[in-house]
Amino acid sequence: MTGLRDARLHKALESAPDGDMRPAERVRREILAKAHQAVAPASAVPWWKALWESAGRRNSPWNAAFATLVIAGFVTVLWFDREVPGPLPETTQAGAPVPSAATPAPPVPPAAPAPTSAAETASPATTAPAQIKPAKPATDAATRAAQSRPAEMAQARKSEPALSARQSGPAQEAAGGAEPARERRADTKSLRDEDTRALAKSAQPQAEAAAPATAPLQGSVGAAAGTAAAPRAAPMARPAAPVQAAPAAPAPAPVIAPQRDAMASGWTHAKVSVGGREVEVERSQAGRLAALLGAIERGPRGEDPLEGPVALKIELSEQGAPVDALEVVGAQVRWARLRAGQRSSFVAKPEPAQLQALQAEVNRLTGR
Amino acid sequence: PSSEDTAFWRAAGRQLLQCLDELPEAQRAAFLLHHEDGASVEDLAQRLGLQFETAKSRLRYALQKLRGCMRRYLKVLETPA
Repeated sequence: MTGLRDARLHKALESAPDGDMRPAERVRREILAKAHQAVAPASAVPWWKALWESAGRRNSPWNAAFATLVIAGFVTVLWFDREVPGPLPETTQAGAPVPSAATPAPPVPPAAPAPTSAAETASPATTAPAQIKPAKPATDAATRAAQSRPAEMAQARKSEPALSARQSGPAQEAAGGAEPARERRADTKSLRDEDTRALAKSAQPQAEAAAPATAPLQGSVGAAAGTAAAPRAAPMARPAAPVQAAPAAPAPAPVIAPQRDAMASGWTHAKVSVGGREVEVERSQAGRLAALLGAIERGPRGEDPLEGPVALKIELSEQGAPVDALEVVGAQVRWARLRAGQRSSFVAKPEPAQLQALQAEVNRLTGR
Repeated sequence: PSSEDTAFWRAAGRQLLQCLDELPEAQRAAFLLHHEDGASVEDLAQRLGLQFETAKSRLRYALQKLRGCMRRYLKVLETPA
């Protein structure tokens, strides 16, 4: 026993009840160390050191944070000099652009018969690979029809010298037919936007300017008889004039939307008879036919008795049941409604441009 | 050791625990660190953050109180068997 250490008290302490249940020496030392750390003054450790020490703990997701920063930096570098893609314009339905192109304009009728006759006198060799047949898939026909219109407008404006140069035999006719098709597909999107903006502008007195502008074009088209571009030049010329004349037309004209196509909402099949040829197509393959028929139905009525042979006949049916029957006689259309309980008839007097567009569409469907 | 010795030390240990509960915390810590952990006075002073003499005096006071509390048992040990 020393002055400060008493062996008797030491032995009594070891012999105390539950004395052998003390924790291991190492555990007791750890507990003491933690206890001292807990009561240590906070100011003893600087804040940056405490943060650094806490970073070393396993429960801190520093690796995940670093990986997130790396990925964010990588994405930023990738997209640094690229524009963020904005909303794309909605793809127009097959019938949407047609009513705007078929909108009648006063200057158009005088020149319309010229390209029409040019189209009718075109040789059979003008059947180019780009001609759409009714048997083709519906989506393919609808897409190509929507694409062809703005492409045709642009080509009418830009390729006037090219049209006049295409006076050749069947070999060049086929090649010339293939080239417009490729150009149409390449310029579809930009031309569609450009034309939509042009059509949506307010009315201005451009009809007179449009007539002389289109006259030489149509004249050149008429001169290029027998060329591959002639049949498509006819619709090119006609849409070109309506495009330029549309601002002069009544304001609602360019904005003929599919929802106004009330008439054609009930038919699923159309049987077209023209020039001794007859073809039946589904509505999805009919391209602009539905929109054209709807525009004719909404157009002015005629009261004159129809005289002359039937140039074109269209029979509309829905799931096998007849719905409507149209007969184009001269410049008017005899329209007969054949639905059970709704039988009636009237005479429509569409604009010449509408009739020409309908004729062109029928020709396309029948492969003429 | 005989059972009587074991019982005696067990009772003494129980009494010592009661005496330790009556000690102030500082003195109790000093006693336990010195006797149970085997820390020297220097270690004791360092652990408790005290001066050497302060640690020494605390330990002395603790022993003095415990010996008084354990007087009966210590007297038995001093008496020759």
